[in-house]
Amino acid sequence: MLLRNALVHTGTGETIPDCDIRIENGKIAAVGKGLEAGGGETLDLSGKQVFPGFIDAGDFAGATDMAYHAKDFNENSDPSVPHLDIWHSIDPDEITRQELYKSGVTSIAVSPGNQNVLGGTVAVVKSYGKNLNRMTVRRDAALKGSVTREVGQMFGPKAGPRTRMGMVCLLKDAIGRTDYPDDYRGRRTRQVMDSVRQGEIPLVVAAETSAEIESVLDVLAGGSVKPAFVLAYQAARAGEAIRRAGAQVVLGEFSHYSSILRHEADFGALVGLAKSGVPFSIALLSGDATICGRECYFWTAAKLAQGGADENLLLDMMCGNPARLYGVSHRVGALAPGLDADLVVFDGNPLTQVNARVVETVIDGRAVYRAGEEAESCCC
Amino acid sequence: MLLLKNAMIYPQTESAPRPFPGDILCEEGKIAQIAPAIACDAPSLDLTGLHVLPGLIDCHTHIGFHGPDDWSSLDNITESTHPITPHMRVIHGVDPGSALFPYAVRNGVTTVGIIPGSLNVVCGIGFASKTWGSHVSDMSIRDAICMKAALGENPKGFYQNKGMAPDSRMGVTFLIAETLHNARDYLRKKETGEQIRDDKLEAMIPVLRREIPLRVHCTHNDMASVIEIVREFGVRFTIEHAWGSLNYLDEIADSGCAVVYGPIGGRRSFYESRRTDIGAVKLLDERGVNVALTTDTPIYGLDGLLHHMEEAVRQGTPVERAMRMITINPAVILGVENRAGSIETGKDANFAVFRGVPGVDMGARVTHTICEGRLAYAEQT
Repeated sequence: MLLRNALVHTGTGETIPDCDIRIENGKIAAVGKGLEAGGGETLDLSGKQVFPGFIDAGDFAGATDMAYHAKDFNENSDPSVPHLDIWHSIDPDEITRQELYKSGVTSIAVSPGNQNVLGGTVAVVKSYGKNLNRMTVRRDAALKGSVTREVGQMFGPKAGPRTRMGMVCLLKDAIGRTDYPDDYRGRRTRQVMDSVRQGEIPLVVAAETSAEIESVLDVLAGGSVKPAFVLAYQAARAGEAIRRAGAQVVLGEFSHYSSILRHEADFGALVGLAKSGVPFSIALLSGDATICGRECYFWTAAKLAQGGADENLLLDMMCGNPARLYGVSHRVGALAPGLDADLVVFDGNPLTQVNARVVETVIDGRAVYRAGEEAESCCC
Repeated sequence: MLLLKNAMIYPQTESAPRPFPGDILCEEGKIAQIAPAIACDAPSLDLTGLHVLPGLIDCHTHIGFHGPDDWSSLDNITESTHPITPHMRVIHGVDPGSALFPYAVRNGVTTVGIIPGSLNVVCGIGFASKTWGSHVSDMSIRDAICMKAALGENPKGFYQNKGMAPDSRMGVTFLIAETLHNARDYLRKKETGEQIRDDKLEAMIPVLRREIPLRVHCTHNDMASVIEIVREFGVRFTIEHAWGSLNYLDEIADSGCAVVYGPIGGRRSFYESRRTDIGAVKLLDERGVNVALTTDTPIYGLDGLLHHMEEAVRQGTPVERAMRMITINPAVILGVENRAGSIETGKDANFAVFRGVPGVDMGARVTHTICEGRLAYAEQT
């Protein structure tokens, strides 16, 4: 398939007018002007703008069901379960039902919840499909942790931890541990923890306040762990510590329950931190009780734009940064030869214009959504 | 007195549907004059390059029951000890000290409808409020503006575990129909001179007399239930939340009700929020339905009212129509359109000033909020 004459935002800092994209076998074969049509279908996208599919850098989507009955994102029997793999909790139908592809999101970092200090590993999967094997981009893409009050709410009445002190202490023990039983659980735990300790995969820790962020950074200091903080409403206040540690920020969702007010979030300062070189990503992750819908993805982008983020910075947060964070930039997050053909066609620039609408969303070279194809009204 | 200079004005009136540049003179809390250039020695605020909308309105909130850290008191918004409590007045539950009021002002919201929550089938009486003040009586623009009712999961889920009705959707809809019938019987008896007194049914009389609307929390097929139930009473009503409207566009339009759509931003979930189709507001608006948008704050912060409007635009609504859904349309639902919702001489001098055009420019934000001619919020630069 050949897409012709679009304004192409490559996600790598380039914006190319009248640009073509050739797609072969679900991959991008070429990006450039005046490409040969070959034998396949040709789609003229004059007047349209093409972006790499966006990445939701943290979400429980798929790890619970619509009725919120399954709740398979937290393993509440133990506050530390780094050996678990969220992939085994994902129901592809439930991911598809969240319709993130309608907002241009084509990949999701499905994460364990916020109730375990170490909750298991993160899987990056596509936002549309029926077969989880085919949707999966990478498993064990990160280890998810949490030091929010949700840990204390769950484990305080049990054997702990109840306080941030307890959570951070448990985290420190898990990071520092070197002896594991030579059994299945021990071997798996060692495998995950070694890749975290050696910085092969990041440790993505849910933290709402600057104090939570700073405590975690304190116990990780001097090691090779690559931390990222998700939710991170007060990241700006902990900006110096984050910068010094080379940590990353995965901004959670702000709209529920006036999180901005509660955390005195300052988007000007957050954007300042991003501009100073700290990589930011955008996630729909929120508190466990408030999983967010697809709309919130652009709402966070709008907040960042209010704080002074320009379109290039926003695109980094939506594509390149999360792809690099989770080690999937060879598959997603940009429009370049060899990468998955995940892209979104807009009738304008959604990073600058509110009224830019998704025309079509393509995942693995296949159009999974076309605007207007759904009946406006049910007649039956 | 305050003179707003060199603003781009978005009046939200039928006579001036397009924005125009000009000055606005505020005097004694009201809009005294709107003109291309007003010569006056009043203190002035230069708004060159900025965009002035009427103070924003969210007509469906539960603001004022708690601060940002105390979510447990969300329970306080409904007297959930009996499913039928039409005599409850929400004005007696609101704390003017709530941090959510100044947060509203910061986000350009100057008028809110404060209504009871939806744990009961018939929940009580709401009022229209300013978003600043020390005493609820001063903040109230108009009390007893509506009767709130609720269908579906909230009353069902709350009462079904208490061993009392309602325990099912049909149980909920029956209770609302029964209350209307009982109230009509009561009213007829009173009109024949019978000496009777029932506080609950008494509170329903303004609804039956079409003095105030019945504002019904309902979604999906609950909307069809409500439309059927209220038809024979000829009452004014609104549909609140309205998720799933795409499937009932014709019925909603034919019923003559208003729609308060939202909040959106939640995950697709069981039953009521499995379909959050904000694109429906465009089609309802085209069919002549008065549509407002709501954040249901504190469920979503009032910063999100702008984002709801943006999302309506993103999903197809023309921006000039979407702006009305957070200004004049909710003013009409609250019955305060004589004072709020548009920029016209004689109305309250409430304004939301934006850098960037809301609904057009990504990152448009409130830089100033003016409350009754007073600069109540200015962005720190």
